[in-house]
Amino acid sequence: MSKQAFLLLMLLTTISPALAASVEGMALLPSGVYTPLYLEKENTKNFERRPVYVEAFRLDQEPITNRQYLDFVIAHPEWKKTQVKRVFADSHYLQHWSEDSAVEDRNELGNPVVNVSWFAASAYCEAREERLPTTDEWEYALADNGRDNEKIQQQLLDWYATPNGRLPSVGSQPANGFGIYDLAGLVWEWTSDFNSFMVSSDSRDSGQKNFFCGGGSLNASNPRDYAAFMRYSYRGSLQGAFTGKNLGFRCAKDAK
Amino acid sequence: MKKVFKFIWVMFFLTCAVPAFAHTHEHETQPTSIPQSESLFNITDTWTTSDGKPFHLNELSGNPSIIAMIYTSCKEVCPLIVEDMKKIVRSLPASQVGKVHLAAFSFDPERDTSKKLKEYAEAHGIDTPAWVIANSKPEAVRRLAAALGMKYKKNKSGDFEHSISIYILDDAGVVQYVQTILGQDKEDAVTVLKKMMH
Repeated sequence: MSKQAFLLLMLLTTISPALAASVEGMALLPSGVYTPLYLEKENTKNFERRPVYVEAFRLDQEPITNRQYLDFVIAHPEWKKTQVKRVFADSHYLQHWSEDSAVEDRNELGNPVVNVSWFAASAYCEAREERLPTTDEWEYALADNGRDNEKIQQQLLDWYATPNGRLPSVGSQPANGFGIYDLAGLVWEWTSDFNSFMVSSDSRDSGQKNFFCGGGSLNASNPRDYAAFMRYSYRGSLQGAFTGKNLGFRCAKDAK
Repeated sequence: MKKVFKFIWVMFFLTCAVPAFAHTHEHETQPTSIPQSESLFNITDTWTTSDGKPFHLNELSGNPSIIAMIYTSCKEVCPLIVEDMKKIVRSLPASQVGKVHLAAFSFDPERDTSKKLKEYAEAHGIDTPAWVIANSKPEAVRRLAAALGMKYKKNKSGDFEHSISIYILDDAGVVQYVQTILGQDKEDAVTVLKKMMH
């Protein structure tokens, strides 16, 4: 068989199973409640600590890897790093890849894909007929019904305090109670509504600008959860086309 | 072996080439050529106008545009956004007034039906050919908001908390100016627009 035909076969065998197997790597999270960091505005003055109800949904057990994203880019060339539109991804998009469809180091294939924008992450999930998780869903998955709450907060803080190093492979830490891996300690992750109006990184906006400063933090449901402040603040600072070397994603799906 | 080869080619065609053709075709049906890289016209979602007609962002090409995201049940801020957009147009020289597109996109897909948008347009005197007021599915709303850097969140009462911004696009769909504070001097938006039309 010629080399060309062999390559084609490779293409066919690598693309199809990756797209078909998507639901397999997902965990079903039952409906439930969690108390988000931000408080609901009751009226103009009062904020209320109010649990949020989250419908049952499916969530990828692991973040999307370079290998999976490579398959996506081959099937959807408009997301190659040389083809992507600037309105959808900044100039650092996939900067850790050596070429349009190759990573620098083969050992990185199993690592979470990073340097992807919100538009790119959304397009990936949509190609699988899925979507990004909402912020509430993501936080609910992390909250894990309060299991090991203190331990997770500490784990997050330790991670935030560690300088950026080489990324490990996905799934190398134990799963949480929902069967989800790597919510803490691997990469930051995009959520569908990262641009929710609750926090403004620009204090000139009329948002909940007192959320982060001084006594303003009393408006948060758990001022001790410093790690959560960092997540909400980070999301608030993002733009849809931004990419980051520690920013990846995973997909979600309605349970129905 | 030959058969295997043929099979591979057919499979390749079905999996790769055919969707690619379909894709190209989809783009051809739209009015303009390939937009520049930073342009909002790269967003291909279909919106629906208050007249129930389909609308694509690239229909704003050819002239500069003044656009904003609003929702019609909004009683306080949103009417002011629309008034501010009108004010910007009023500050332009008469010869340029007809050369600006005006568009308001709803981020309330549930309540803002075409009928509701039509009523709103009539009530606010923006039921004119220069204006487009449109709705779309939640994904399209989120995509446009993300591209504009607009933040919004639905609260328990069904209303939205949202950033208050008016965007000036050039004729190629690239955002050239963002007005973020209501009631400020309109000079900047107007200056940007005047420059574009020279």
